[in-house]
Amino acid sequence: MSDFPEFAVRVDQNPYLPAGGREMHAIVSVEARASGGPGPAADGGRAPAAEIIMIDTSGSMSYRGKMAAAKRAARAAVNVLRDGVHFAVVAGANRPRMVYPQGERLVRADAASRRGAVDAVGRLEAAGGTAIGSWLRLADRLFTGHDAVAAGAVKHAILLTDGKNQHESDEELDAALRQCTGRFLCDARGVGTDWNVAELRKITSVLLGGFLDVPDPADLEADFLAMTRAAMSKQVADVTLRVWTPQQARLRFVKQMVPAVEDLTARRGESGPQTGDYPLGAWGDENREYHLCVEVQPGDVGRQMRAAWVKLVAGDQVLASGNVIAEWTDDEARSTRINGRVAHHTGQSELAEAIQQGLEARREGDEDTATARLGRAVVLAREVGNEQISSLLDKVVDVVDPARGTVRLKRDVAKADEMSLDTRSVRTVRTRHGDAAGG
Amino acid sequence: MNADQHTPVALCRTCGEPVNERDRFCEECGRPDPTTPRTPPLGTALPHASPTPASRAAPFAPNPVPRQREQPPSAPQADPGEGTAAGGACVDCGVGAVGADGYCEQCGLRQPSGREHVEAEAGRSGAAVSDLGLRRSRNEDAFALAELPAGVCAVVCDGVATAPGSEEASRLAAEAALAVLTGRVPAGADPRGAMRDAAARAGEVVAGLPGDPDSSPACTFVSAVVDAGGITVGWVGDSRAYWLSPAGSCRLTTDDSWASSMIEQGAMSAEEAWADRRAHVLTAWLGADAGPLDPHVAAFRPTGPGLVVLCSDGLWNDLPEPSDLAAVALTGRDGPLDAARRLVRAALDAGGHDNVTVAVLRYPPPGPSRERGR
Repeated sequence: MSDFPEFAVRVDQNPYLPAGGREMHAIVSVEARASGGPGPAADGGRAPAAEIIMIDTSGSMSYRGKMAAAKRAARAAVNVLRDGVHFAVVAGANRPRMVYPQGERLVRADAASRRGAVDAVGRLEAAGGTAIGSWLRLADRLFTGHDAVAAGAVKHAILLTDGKNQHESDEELDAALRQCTGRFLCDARGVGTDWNVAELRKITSVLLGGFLDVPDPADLEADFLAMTRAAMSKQVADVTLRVWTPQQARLRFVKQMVPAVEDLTARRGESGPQTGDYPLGAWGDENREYHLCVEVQPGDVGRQMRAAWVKLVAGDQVLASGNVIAEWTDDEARSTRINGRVAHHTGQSELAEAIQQGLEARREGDEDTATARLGRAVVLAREVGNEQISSLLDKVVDVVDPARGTVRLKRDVAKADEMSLDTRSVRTVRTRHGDAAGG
Repeated sequence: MNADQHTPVALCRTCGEPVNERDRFCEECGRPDPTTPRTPPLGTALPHASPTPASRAAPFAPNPVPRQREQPPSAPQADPGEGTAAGGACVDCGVGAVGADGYCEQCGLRQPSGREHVEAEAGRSGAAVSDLGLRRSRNEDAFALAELPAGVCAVVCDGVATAPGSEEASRLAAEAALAVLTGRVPAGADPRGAMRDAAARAGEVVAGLPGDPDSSPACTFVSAVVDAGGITVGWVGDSRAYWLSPAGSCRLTTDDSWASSMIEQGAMSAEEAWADRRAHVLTAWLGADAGPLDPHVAAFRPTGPGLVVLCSDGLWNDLPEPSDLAAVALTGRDGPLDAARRLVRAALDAGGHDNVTVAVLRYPPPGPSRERGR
């Protein structure tokens, strides 16, 4: 447990501001490498883990082979739980129901319990509605019961749904999310085309996870395997981004940019003088990137300021830190330079926003706005080199002039394509360090 | 541009400006492959520096007169090297404590190191001034000077900004060399031998500093002993010594630089060589990656009175001609400190692009009427 991965922080920025300049941008890249080296040999270094698999068993799951695919996926996930992980399988409908084990508790994974869970999953049948908030509350109870056994465990849930949250109110879902915030992490998958992108975005955003669309139920199994393996590989449960800023400075935003765009600004919890904490969830062998923007009081030309001091913290241990510097200069050649990685991530933020606004306008029948925003997205996707987004955009608009962003809305757009574009709008592409994309 | 504060920025090995690791040229000075390690004979170059008031270690060091602009009020007569203000209150907001890395914990401003502007005098025989210049954020030049029983000696070093640690390198080199000179010359050693030993000792000290294999801390070196017998100068790199007198002025050193070596070999005219972007690349320096050290030493016996000026390239870049320097230094009948200040001011007025350090020593030394620490 104390064998944390080795964290390293890298800051990319143009530290120079013109005289009187206030706004400093920086990209903070955090890289964690398992201390024991890669591979399963480092098992001892992993944090204890608890996993809950929540399968939507509402009536609609019986169509188009979704239930059968969900069962295969859940069984695959159970089978890759490593020995010693505590887990449960929950079926969700109007109310949640324990699939395995039978009582409201988690059970330790071993050959017998995995077999028991696989058998129980095989007996699942689809019936009833969808009330995701109640499923999450059950997960929270299960994890809470487990806390006494293993404090500091990585608590992770997988949520699969095929429909909208129709059988409880938005308020009920929001209340459940408030209760579960900071209690466990949740990744979600939407299967078919009847679920709601905004809903899963909200749920996984609050619970520090990600979500994806799985248009073809046949892909579900591989996806569950990958998700479970990723959860199993986490080595430290609760990592926090701690940001110090100078007095009278204002941290305008903190956004996660890699692996996906996620605005963390509102998640700040004050943790000391001029210092705020942003919870990041569990970490394994992985890289993430953050875009910070801080507004500082201008210093004299020639002076240098620490505009932000960024630390990765677990418990009371600082895992890594980096400085965002501001230096005022009267040399325009310096102060006007644009850092390539800042430019790249700025483009990716704007891209996600343009897609979401464009699709929203399209749903509302505002074709002018939809055309303008999706056209802008076409330009940005090319600029930042996000080919997946470019090809998804091609399914929603006819591109007349890709450089200027002249597009026409397609008349017939498959629901799955629209949802895929919406879902993946926040997925970013990484740049190599030093790339000057857009710069 | 791509600056990273955690693993320190990639710096151009010539001018010390932050550069992207993959830049083919430094945008500031034009050095090709600005971050690739020095390969002989193209070395490093030079830039900046950091001054130190002479005195400390030297037994004869009479009087550092530190007049440090912006010195934190609370900082005791402290080591003006790194982090003078550490532990004290911030000079800007007056409230925050200053962390070990020099930033105020409240307002975030980096505290002056104490090396932004340093002045020192050695009795009436010599003085030195070092200044950050107008464009740099730190002063990596250093000087040390001391009176001798029968004269005066001084050292000027210019830290090579490519490697973190060169700020420290220049300071330690100047101090180490001064300690050798003030120990050996009064004991009767030949100044030329003492000068070689001083350079060797400074080289050892710098080579012993921690650094990574690609960028060891490094600095240039120029030093002079002035007594009734004449002037002895020693140097490595492109910091210079000049002789300035009403009867005629000249340069006493030749640079260990690419331009110098091209001119010397007859491969290029002086104009062509200095116009080349490699002009300032060093061919010799003090540092772990410098190879065997072979300091130049030369002795002179002037026929009349004048001034010996030691300087970093922050001065001679803008005022290369001995006559230019003489015109600034020899006006007025004031002392060496005023002459040094005027020279520094002239460099700042000419652009102040780099750190500037100047030591001015009188020849002949002004008799034995020295009062310590005037």
